Amino acid sequence: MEFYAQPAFFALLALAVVPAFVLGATGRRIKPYGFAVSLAFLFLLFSHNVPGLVALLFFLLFSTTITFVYLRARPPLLGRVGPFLLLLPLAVYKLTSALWGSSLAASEIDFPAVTLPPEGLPFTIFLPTAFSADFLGFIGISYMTFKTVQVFLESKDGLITTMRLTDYLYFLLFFAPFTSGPIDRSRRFITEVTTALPRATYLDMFGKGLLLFLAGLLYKVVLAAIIFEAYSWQPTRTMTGIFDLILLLKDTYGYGIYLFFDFAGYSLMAMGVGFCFGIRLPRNFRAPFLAVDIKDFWNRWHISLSFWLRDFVFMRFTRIALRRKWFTSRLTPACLGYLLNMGLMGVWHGLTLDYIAYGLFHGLFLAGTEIYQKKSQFYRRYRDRRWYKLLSWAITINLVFFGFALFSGQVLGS
Amino acid sequence: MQRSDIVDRVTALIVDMTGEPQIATEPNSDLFASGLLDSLAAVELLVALEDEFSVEIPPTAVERDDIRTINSIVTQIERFTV
Repeated sequence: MEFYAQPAFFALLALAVVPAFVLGATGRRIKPYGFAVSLAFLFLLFSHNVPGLVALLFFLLFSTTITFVYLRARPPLLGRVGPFLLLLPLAVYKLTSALWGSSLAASEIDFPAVTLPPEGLPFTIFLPTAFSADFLGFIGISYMTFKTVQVFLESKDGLITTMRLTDYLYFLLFFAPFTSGPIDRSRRFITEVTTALPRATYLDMFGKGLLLFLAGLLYKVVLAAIIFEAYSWQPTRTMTGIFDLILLLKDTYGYGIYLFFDFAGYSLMAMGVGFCFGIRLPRNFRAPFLAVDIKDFWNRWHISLSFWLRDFVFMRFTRIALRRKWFTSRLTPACLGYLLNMGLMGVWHGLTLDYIAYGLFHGLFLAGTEIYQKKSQFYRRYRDRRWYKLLSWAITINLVFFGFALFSGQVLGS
Repeated sequence: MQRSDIVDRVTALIVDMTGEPQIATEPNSDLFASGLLDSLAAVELLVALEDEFSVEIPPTAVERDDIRTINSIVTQIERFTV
């Protein structure tokens, strides 16, 4: 069963929310019920995918052992290698899927499963199918890896000192964001699920949750579907004249807008379900197409991913580089940090030329913006002017759509 | 350590980092919204605060909302120096 795509999921979800509402509205903790419901939904998700289920169970055993051994004993060697060990299943899966082809592909990597496209279109890459050659892979592995690494690094930082096994497993397995995020953070999650919410607070959350879910449904099922019909994606379009160029532009912009409504719609639904279960899942989009520069864009697009990378890659790299004085210019660590950040983001999407080019493109775009904003007198003088913001927005948004074209394979077609 | 002492030292650091002396008179001004702090500057600020106050502040120990203003930064320093 696909989450947020099949009618059966929505019907079961409606049934599953009712007891959560009763528990929340009577001031009781939802966690035990939420955990049981999550296991049931995951059983349905993997019901026709035994290898995926085995890979998930292995992943859980592996990450739980590493994390809890570290939390109990804090061996220094494990502290150093732990994050890399936790990344290992994902790395092996990426490598094997790059070598032998992936059956899970982007559906579990970045974007959620989408409305079924007409047969033959390359959007089938977004649809999860049966497990094939993906060693250690399962739907949701990427998002779960982010969570396990976050818990480990914050344990190493001393921000997490103890954790109950059930809390850890519930954090990893909560079904609402399981397949495609938003990427949650454990400290807030565990505080929320271990505390019974006051009745009024829960009722307020539940109301918001329903609204978010309905907005997401509108985005994904209605608007994304309409936009999907309005363009066709042809990776091998032959450019013979101006008309073909117009069609190419239509497809490029159509794809980007479709991607937003589909992914933002999914994220809103996941967030809404989270609220109904008393969990404030983080927001994933904030009007990204209004961004006035690329730094602003990454504060608005796939926020839970970009903030995760900011906190656990960019900030750590630049902090070490600044503290150890690796570079004389303060801009160098920032530029390298952006390239590292976005390069990793590209590789995380998949080991293909399109994804890697997409990541590097954004890394260069961010680094270039950083240099420009720090060095340019013109920017300092005019950045608050309306015409400047409009110009900056127009340049940014067109380059963002070029990035989507890179991502989708419309440019390189690899 | 007195709060006023922390305020003075934090203010001096931020003025030095941003090159904007008038920020000293606006302890509740949003440093991110005004463009004086960004992701890189936030890291630089954390490193500078660690050196200045001999504390260790892990990157995710403070949310961005916790270091938006001089006053909120001072509150965080009080937390870490206890």
